[in-house]
Amino acid sequence: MSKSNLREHAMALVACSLILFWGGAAHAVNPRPPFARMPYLQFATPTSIHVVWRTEGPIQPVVRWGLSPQELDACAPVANIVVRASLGANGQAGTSAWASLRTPENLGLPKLHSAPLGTFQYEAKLTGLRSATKYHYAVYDGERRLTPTGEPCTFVTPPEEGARAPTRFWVLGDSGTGRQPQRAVHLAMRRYVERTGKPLDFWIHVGDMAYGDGRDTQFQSRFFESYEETLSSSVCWPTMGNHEGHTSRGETGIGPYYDAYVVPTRGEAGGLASGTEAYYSFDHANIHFICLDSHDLDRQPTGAMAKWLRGDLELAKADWVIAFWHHPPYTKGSHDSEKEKDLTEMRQYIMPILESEGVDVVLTGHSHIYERSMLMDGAYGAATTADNNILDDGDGDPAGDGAYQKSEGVQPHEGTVQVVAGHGGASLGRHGTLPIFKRTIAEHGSVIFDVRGDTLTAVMLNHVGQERDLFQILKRGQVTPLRIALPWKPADSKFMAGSNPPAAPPVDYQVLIPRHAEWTYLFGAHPQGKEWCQLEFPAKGWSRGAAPFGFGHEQLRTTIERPRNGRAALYLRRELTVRQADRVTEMGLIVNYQDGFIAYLNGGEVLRRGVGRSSGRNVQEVTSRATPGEVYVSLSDPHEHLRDGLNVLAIEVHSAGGESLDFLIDPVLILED
Amino acid sequence: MRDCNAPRRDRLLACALCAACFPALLWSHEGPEHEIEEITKRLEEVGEEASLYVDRAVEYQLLSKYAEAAKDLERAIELDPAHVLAHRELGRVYVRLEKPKEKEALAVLGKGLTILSTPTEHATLLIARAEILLAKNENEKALADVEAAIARHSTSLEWYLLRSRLQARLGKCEERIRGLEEGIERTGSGLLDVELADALLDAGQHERAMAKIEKKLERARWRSSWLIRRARVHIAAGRTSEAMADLEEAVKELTRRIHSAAPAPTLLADRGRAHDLLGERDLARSDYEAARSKGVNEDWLIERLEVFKKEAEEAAKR
Repeated sequence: MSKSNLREHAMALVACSLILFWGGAAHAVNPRPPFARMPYLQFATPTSIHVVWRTEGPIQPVVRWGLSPQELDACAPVANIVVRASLGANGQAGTSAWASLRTPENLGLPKLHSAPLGTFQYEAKLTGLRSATKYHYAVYDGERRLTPTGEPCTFVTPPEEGARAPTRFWVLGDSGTGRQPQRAVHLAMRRYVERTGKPLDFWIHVGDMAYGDGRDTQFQSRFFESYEETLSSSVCWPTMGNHEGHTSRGETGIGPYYDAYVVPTRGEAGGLASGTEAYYSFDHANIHFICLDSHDLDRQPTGAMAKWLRGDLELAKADWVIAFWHHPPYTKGSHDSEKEKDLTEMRQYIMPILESEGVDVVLTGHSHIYERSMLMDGAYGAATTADNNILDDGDGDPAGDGAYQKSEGVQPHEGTVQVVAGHGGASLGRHGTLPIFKRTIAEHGSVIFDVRGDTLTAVMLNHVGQERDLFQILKRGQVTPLRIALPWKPADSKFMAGSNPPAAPPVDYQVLIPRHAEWTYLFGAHPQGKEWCQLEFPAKGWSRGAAPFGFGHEQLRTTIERPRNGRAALYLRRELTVRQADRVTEMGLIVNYQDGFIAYLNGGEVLRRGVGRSSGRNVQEVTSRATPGEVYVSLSDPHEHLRDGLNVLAIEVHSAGGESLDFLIDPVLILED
Repeated sequence: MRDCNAPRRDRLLACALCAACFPALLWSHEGPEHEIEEITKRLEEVGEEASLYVDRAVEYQLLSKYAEAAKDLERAIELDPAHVLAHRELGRVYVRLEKPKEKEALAVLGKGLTILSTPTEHATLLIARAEILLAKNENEKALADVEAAIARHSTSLEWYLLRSRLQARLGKCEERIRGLEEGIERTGSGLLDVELADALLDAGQHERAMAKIEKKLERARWRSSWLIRRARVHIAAGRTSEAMADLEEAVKELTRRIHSAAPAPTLLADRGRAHDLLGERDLARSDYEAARSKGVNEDWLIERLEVFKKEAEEAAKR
């Protein structure tokens, strides 16, 4: 490793430590009651903006705003506030606490798809604003102010459509893990913005903002709480990723994704009215933005989305056209655009429409990597080729090979830059590269765009704030694009297999079962059936002892006798109390074990490691874990088994027998906070 | 928020683990093949679950492996006969098989419709069945399904387009116009407004169509599709020279936008139509055929290709 590399690594380590510290501090500001989701900005035009928030139980919603924090002299009329509620179905478990809210009036409100019961969402449209103006705002319950007085809640309205005003926006994707890289990427952006003295005008999330299934609770902890400061001062324009697509559907516009966002459907922010929240367009200054749903809608050229796209582009009169969606038409990161149908179809059916109408930049995610193309046009084939499809094979950097050149205005087939920004927080991956790419960087990060009149500049900022790529597009005069027969070609390389370290726990969590906790246990016999995993099981005749349990290891708190036949089996139970189980996003075990175990929550299997088949006395295929060490493993779908109040975690531990002479279980149960 | 047995945070432990585990692997993605492997492993570990088979079928579809997807969905239904999504997906997958099983698709969707489900779920099953019926040219039945779906869930603009297409096939011009107006009111969709302009043209309501066309031409940066529509009105009114001027301008603009080596299919279809209306039949047929080969399946284009084919056959006979 060179000295400069060493220095970079040292800096990264220091930055990581700072981020850990900062992460902890930031999460002191989880939604403060009565907020269930802190206020955030949505769907802005030069004269309007939406402020959205949630409360536990209803309030008398009021939003006041003005030009200074002391003069919040304007107020959104009640008619401009859409209220949605989660009131459950009659007789549904947990509704009793909220039964009084199930009034005819409340039941007539639009429904929140899957928010915790008793949640009310307020979407206030602030109108009559001046363009390009900074406003302060606050949320009230009647006369009672809910957003703290000392906290800056501000927004800047977009400039007039067509104005050549400097615009800065942030682009990221695949970030909603609730893990450290997500925090680091966010912090790196905030520091860059602070350092360069130009705040974000808005940001774009290219999907996968709430792993693993885009459930309402996952949106809350992995998106809204993670980006709280940025969401309260700048609009996030979203597109749905495949993970959100597990619980939300573009065809019907129903699901937590559609609950979370307010976007234009009637052409209110420019472009052709889409009539759906699944895809839409908006103008900001002299840029026209297009959002598509690449996940679950028809991508065929005569499908509704493609037809709308064409109609929208026919109207666009901005200087710049930028499109974004989730599935990249070109990638060899953690996904392969030459094999996967949804990616291939975006390339074969959607890209020809966009390039015929003069798109400048395409932003996507899905593939967990940063990939950036040269200036390209017309590469729609089953296999992506660069020959004759590259218009400039330089790096686009004014300090390097020079900016990419295009004609003034929006002209067909003068070149597009593809940016895959799926490196916002999820684990990275790479299969290789495509010949159209100039940069492939397997680091966490995001991209910041600055558009000033005829110049667009994009900077890829990694998770420790280093500028890892920069390209520029200049639009001046008339440029005649020339196709390069044999353009520059990137060296093919693969991300080393196994270079990803194991999974990390969520950044913020509560310990439900601590280290050295006392458990009820059974050793030397097998319980009959599966009743022992259930909460009601009496566990008569079972012993009590503190973890770690085992033999052949040091620092055990409960040593059990090594069986003569070498095959050990141990059964553990411990009760735990959880409130508001419907808000749980993730549970997991920080566990050291040898050789294998199966964990159950209230009788439902939620985790299995090192045990191949069956359970109890019939267990088969236990794999020897020769070198134990602590790992974090999340439980599978705990929300399906977890209940309000008392629960039980049960674990059965098995040794492999044979050569495996030692035995260990040391579990800590945690819950994402 | 929660009452935990041990509420104190173990931040030191978190720091140690996070530092060691940066970056995280938990949300790893290696494409559908990897997902299939993971789900297969899970099926072996926890045993058969309908939802796991449905998840794996979704991944198989991404790789166009419809036979495997069908097998998984069939198993999911065996395990959970009330799984609405499995029924809908199986219906859709059956018609994508190398040898499409239309009869089986209709049967499974019919069965799905008997399951107690939400109005929206029910509507999506009806639409899946309507799409199959449309492909079989059973337009009346398909239309009934779409009508029933819209009655249950009235904000999906794609369903209004599907209804419009079926009504056009059945010559129900007035119903088509009314249906599109209803869709525009419910969704605000600009695309339905474009479809309405076509519906008015097809119904011979040229004056209303012209009002819309002129408005669009004022706003549009790219004008070709609206110039072609205007030319149709001119032709109907006998204003040939105006029509020719519009069509020539449209061809010029489209040719500028069409990539010579990798053309956008719907632009080819439009240029074909402009050539067709100009009487340039060879050029029209060539564009139509290229558009069709690239996935354009508009009824009017397929009809025109049929006409050209018949003419060519008759010419050959002569």
